[in-house]
Amino acid sequence: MKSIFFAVLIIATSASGQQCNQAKILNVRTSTSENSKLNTETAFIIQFKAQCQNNARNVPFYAEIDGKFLTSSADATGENYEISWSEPIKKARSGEIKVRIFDEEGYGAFRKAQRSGDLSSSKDLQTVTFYHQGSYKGPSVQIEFLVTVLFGVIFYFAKSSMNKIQN
Amino acid sequence: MSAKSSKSKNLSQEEEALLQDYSRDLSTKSSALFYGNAAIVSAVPIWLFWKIHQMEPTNNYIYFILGTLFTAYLISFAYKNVKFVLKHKIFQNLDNVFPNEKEKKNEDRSLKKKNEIAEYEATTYSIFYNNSLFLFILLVASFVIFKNFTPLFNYFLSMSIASGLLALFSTSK
Repeated sequence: MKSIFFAVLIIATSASGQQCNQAKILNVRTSTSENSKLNTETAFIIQFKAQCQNNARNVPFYAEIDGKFLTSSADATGENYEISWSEPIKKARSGEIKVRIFDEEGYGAFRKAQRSGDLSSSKDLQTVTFYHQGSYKGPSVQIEFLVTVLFGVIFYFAKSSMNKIQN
Repeated sequence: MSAKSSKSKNLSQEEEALLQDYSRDLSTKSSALFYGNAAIVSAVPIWLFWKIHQMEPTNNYIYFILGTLFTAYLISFAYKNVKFVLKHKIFQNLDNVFPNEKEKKNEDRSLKKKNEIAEYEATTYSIFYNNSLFLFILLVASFVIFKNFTPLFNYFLSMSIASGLLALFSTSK
C-alpha cells in the first residue's frame, strides 16, 4: 500500500516537472502601450506558441531583458504563452528591445554562465526583437495657448486699425 | 405766416438731425444689430465651457442663461459707446470724399450720405473691435487666471471680467 502510494507520488511530481524537448517558438506577437495620457505605466507584452516534441504543455519559459528574468504564463490549452512586464512611463525606453527566451534547461545554463562570467556558451530558444516607438505625451504646445495667441493677434490688428482712425 | 412757419420747421428739422447725430440713441436697425451680435458673442462661451470645462448644459442652464443675459447687456453697452466715438472720427475723415459740398443744394444730400457711411463703418468696426477684445480677455481669464477654479466659478468670473472690462474700456475716448 505504501509502495503504491509512493509510486503515485513519484509519477505526479515527474509529470508536473516535465520538460519541453526541442521546443519550437511560433506565432510571436508583441505589443506595447503607446499613450501616456491613458496609462500610468508602459506595458510590454510578448505572446507566442510553443510546440514541444514530447507534447509537454504548461512548461515554464524564461525571458531575459537587460539582465532581468521573467517567467511566462500559459493559457488553458497550455500551448500559448505570454510574458509581460511594465515600467514607469518616464523610465521606459523607446527603440529596439531584445528579449531572449529560454526553456528551463537553457535558463539554468544561462545562470551558470552568468555566475562564471562567460555568456558566450548560453543558447536561447529564440531572440525576439521588437520596436517600441515611445508613448505619446500630448501636444508639445497647448492648443488653448495657440488659440489665445491667435485672438491676441486679431485684437492687436483691431486696435491698431482703430488707432489709425482716431488719429 | 406760412413762410415763417416753414422756415421754423426747416430749422427745427436741422436741429433734429444734429441732435440725432450727436446723441447716443440708436436706430432700430443698429439696435437689432448690436443686441443680436451681443447675444451671439455672449452665447459662444457656453460651448467652450461645456466641451472643455465639462459644464453640462442640462445641469447648468440657469447659470448659462443668466451669464449670457448679463454679458450681452454689457457688450451692447460697449458697442454703443465705441460706435459713438468712432462715428465722429470717421465722419471727419470723410470730408475728402465729397469735395463739392459747398454747393448749398447738395449739402444736405452729402451730409446725409456721409452720415450713413460713418454710421455703417462705425457700427461694424465697433462690433469687430469689441468682439475680439471680449474673446481675448475671456480666453486669458478662463485658461490662465481661473484655470484651477471650479468650472462654475470660472464661467462667472471669466464672463464678468471680460464683459466688465469691455464696458469699462469703452467709456474712454
